[in-house]
Amino acid sequence: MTKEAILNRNYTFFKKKLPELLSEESNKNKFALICNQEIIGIYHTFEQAINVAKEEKNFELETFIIQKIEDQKHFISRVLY
Amino acid sequence: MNNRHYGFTIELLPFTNSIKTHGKVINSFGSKEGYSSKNFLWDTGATNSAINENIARKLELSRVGNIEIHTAGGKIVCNTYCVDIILPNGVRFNQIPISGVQLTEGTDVLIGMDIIKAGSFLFSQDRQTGKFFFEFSIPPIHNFMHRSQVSTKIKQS
Repeated sequence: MTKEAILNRNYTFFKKKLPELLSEESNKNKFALICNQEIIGIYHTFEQAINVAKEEKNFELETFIIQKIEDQKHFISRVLY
Repeated sequence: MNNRHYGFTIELLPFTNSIKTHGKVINSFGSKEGYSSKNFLWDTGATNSAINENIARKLELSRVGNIEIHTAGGKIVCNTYCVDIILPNGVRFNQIPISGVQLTEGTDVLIGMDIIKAGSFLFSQDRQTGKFFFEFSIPPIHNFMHRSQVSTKIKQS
């Protein structure tokens, strides 16, 4: 499986889990570290999640994702597509 | 507690209709050389900071997630990367997520509200000269209109 496919699967897993994660008030606006379609941990900051992935777990780059647990919409108008 | 503020004042080009500064973006996990540009666009209408995908490729950024973004053309799902950003005032944001998108021509990096809200932001015009100025300071300054607190002044070429 390519790295892209692994990351896509992790993202699909996160999208499915998001409603459940959001239902827990204490998770909101925190960052989920996901690897092999498993939630490794939930952290206060993006930097903390990155450090756990890289330093503690020794995950290889492009095998894990970090996603913010939020229901906020994001807007960027200066995009060409 | 460190009470020092890091700030800058930039005189913008006459008849400007956007706020552009120089800056540097660095791959948090790769070469520390990075990419310097005069095309860092500050956009209070953007919730997130973003980088042009062609620069993300040049810097060999690693994908660390995805984000759904609403654009003028509809909703897109784009990659997120992890970068360090250095602003004109020398303040460095380490390991921050940034969205990879195809930005409009003449913009390499877009500084969105995720970064802007970390500081004090002021766009102003001098009534006597008609010149436009952009000032930014980190951490936020109490009563930012007292500009004497801002540490350095930079004239943009």
